[in-house]
Amino acid sequence: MASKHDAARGFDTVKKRLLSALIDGNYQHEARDRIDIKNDLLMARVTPMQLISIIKRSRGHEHFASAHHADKSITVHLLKTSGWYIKFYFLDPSTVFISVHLEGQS
Amino acid sequence: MKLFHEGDISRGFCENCAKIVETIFVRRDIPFSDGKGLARNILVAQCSICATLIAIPSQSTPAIRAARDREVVSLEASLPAIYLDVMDLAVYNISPTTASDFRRPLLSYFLHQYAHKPRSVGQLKRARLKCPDVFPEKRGEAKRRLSLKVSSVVAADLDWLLTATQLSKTDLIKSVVYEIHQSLLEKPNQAFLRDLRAIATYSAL
Repeated sequence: MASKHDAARGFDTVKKRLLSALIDGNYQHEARDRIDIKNDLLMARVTPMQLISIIKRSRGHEHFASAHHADKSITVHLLKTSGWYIKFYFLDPSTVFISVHLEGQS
Repeated sequence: MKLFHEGDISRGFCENCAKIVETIFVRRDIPFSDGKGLARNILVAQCSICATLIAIPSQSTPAIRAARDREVVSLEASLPAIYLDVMDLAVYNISPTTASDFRRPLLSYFLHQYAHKPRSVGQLKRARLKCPDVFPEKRGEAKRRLSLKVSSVVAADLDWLLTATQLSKTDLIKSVVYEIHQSLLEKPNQAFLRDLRAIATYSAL
């Protein structure tokens, strides 16, 4: 079982990787047939720079991880921080956002 | 800054193939999820096996935003004629040459400002209560129809204001016209008028 220390270190790695993807613009948005107008990052209602500052303030207890519903090899991360709901996964060489929106607006 | 090009290869999860697949970047027309329009010729990642849309890269966001802004929504309301007279008079004072062409930018400007500035909800609700003092309404008086095409961004501003103020669309527009009357005709602010004249000049190009 992972210790609290391991979990914190795991979150630090996730956060660093996520910030790096946003800084480099090396990310994609999951899409199914349509452009999801509820995704605030995709629709430019929040900028990558604004999201970076939100994510920088996030803490380990605001991070949740679970297996992808259809492929257990993918870890889906959820950050619920400062009123934001940020769901994503890493799939080398990119980072894929499933959803980015203010909570209560999904 | 990472940039993808047509023909580049990446990876993604394909719901149709139910597995991680190789994706290829192509340009496609993709509709918006609310069914209101589509973004044309944007770069997307599709499954290299079944061509299902898998992902949209970050670099496509400006094109999506531009496509969304171009979508127009009808704004219709039937108002006592005096309200449209006031709006047209304000437009005439700003720019006699562009006249009624500037109705849409003027109303869009006010709606966008009110949707984004603090305390505007209370201001608009109070304005609605003051409307009958300035524009008394009588039974059977003449009405004029306001019919405009506004951008989807302004339509979203209007929706937000309708929810926040709990006013009907007609009453909200009456409140905005009241504010136009106050700020441009009753107590005109010269700096504000200069800014609007500049907008009228650019929007008429």
